[in-house]
Amino acid sequence: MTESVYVVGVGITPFGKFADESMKSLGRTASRTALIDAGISPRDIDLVSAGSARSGMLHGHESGVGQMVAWELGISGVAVYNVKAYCASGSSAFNVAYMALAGGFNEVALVVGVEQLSVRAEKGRPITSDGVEIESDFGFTPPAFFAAVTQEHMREFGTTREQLAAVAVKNRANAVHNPVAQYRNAISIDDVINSPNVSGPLNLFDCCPTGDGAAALVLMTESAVKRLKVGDRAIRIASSVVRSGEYEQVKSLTTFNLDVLASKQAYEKAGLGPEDLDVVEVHDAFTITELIHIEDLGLVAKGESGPAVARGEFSLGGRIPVSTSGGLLTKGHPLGASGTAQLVELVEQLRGESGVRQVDGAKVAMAQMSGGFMESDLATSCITILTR
Amino acid sequence: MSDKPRASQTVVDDFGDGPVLTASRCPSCGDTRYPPRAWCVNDQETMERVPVSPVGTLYEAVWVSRPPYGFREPYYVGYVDMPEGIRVFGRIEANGHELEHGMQLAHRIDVSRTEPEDVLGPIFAPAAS
Ligand SMILES: [Zn+2]
Repeated sequence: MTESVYVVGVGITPFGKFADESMKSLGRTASRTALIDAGISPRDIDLVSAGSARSGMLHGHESGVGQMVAWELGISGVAVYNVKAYCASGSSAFNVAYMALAGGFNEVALVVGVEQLSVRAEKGRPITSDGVEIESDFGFTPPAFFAAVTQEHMREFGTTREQLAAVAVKNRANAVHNPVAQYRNAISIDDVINSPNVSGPLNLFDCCPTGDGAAALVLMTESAVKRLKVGDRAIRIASSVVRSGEYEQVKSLTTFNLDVLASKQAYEKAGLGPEDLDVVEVHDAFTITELIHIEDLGLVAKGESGPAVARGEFSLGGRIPVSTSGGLLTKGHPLGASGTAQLVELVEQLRGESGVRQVDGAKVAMAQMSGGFMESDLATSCITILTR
Repeated sequence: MSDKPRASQTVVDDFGDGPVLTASRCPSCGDTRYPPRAWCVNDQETMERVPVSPVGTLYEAVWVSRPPYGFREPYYVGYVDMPEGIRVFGRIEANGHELEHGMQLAHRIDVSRTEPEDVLGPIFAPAAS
């Protein structure tokens, strides 16, 4: 028996590189915005779940980011969880809060994802990833991994350089209308193709920038929604799934089986399918990852994402708009904040509050966030389905 | 303290003839894994450490134009599928060849990374035909 759980408040900071900010200031700003949006007091919160991946160590908060943000807001005497799961840290923190509320253990949760990467010592160099110590000694970088994935997708399905660039162009076109995005000027296919090379077929505009930022959500059980009378703009969590990788030795790099399986679980729990989706946010850390994720989620047949994105099927006004926020490619990727930022975007879409980026009549939304590398697969995947 | 380069503890062993690339094999079911594991995922038997075959098949190789910390110059890396059913990631010396999916590559153990200290790892190159 599970309780219905709703998102009743959202808050987000601008994403960018902010030397004058801190994890503390970013986390408290997004959280306060979410509390005000929900119309509740910090004292109403009985659980805090915080996601951050890499920057804790840089700020003397390898542990305790959730307690730090809660203290700033005057939230005390509650359950606090700190979740670290690579790029999916914020999405995983959301899942922890969802489980606690669905299970009836808590009633009102604050979820915050926060990261500040602009202070790292090796800034300007490609960021490394946790869990790839061996490969990193042998020259591994995330762009090199996804460059290999890109070449394989091109070889197997005939995906072209122009089709990849269409993803970056689409997401920038969306970011033009998103005030919190880091890079908001429109770009062309040629801009992407002529941007400096990073690795293999991937150029600078195929890769998401890093950055700083925070995004927060307030979650409530159905009974708390009634008690606190905040139901007007409540968005229901239809399913939230977390799943680790399928560690096989020799496999095709053109699909991530964990996303296929996690999204199947999420569809089943929600009683919905890909044909029901109105708006989707995916882990577009690279142009190629958006293409592969939309295939793995069932938005388009395997191998057909390239032509479909070039035809505009995933643009605003298209069949299923993807990355309407501008995605990681334009917001930047403050790891722990990226997953909660996706959910903030989707909640606003389902409320009909997205302005120029609004998907008309959006009723069902999906977020996909994966993270980490293990044995030539990804280490974790989080799938969330929200409904109005 | 010796001046010898740090070998990646997990994937390089010396079975008596110098450092070689190492996988693990289950003595019970024969499952072979790379990087080596302590226990077999099928039956939890203690795995044996075994040298990796000398030649494999290139899955994908890519040029890294922007080297990360630890690497001074651009380089090729890639995934190579070995006959025992494992996939190995490492640097590749093209030696003037076009690196193509399906070509045969041989490996040796050599310095893979130079900062902050030398680290030994597998270096692949087109196999002599
Ligand atoms: Zn076995």
